[in-house]
Amino acid sequence: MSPTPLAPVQDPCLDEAVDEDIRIDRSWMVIVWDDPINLMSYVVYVFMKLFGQSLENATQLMWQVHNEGKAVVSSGTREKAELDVFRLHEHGLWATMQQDI
Amino acid sequence: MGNFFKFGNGGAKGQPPEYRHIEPVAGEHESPANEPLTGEEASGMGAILRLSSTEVKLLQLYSKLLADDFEDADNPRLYPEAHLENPKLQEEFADLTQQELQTSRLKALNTLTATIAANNHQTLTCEQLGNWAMSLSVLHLALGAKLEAKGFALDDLESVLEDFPDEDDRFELAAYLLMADILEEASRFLVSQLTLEFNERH
Repeated sequence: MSPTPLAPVQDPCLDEAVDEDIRIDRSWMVIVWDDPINLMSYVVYVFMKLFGQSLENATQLMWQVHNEGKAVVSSGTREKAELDVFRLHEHGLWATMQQDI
Repeated sequence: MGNFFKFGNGGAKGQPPEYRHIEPVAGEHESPANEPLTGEEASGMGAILRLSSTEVKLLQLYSKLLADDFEDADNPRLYPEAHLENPKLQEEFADLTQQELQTSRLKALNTLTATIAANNHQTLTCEQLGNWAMSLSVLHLALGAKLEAKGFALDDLESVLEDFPDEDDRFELAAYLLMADILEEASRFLVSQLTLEFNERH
């Protein structure tokens, strides 16, 4: 006998207005935007410090932001993305987050 | 965004600054002035920060003058939006993080103001230097926003100064460039340190 598919459970705590805009099956991307003031070396330092990247990877990412105007620097759950955005803001970088399309 | 103000140069076009303000505690720095420090040179002992008395006064002054900006949640550059297309999520994010962001920045600023040495020769741990970098970055941003973030070709200082006929603006410009200079050196030092740690882990 095949199992009966379970109906999705409605969480009464979820805010419906927010729920419409968030797809829980999609991860979140953290984007760092081109910035006229921050120093290249400082941006590389922040990427290495926050994301544990090598100098080469951090430098490559910094150049991507510089040349393309923005770059995705991390992805994951909403909570992880919010923490990453917070830490980037804390260090003075311009970061936003959005769900994968 | 200013069209002649490039991401990554901190407003100063041209060659990166020499190491004038920072040197590793352990051993002599043997690399040429514009080369990054080696991991060994930067090894875990922190840094010696050297500032002239004028530079100390300038940093003290602007740390005080810009402290209010640290708490100004309406400043979009210091408190940027995380959710560009969803005001409700943005409001939630701001409620969640704003206070902590202020607290964290003020803590870093306190490290900076507490460790500006009267004798212009201060030994900092890497953690303290990281706090210096974070504070300088935010001070630099706040001042850059006030100066409308123009690009400065320092090899043509006269034309730069023409853009700032007002004496107060020139003072701000000097502070802005000093912050960029120290931040550049601090970042390169900290990158060397993190590279050493990364290589040890892998």
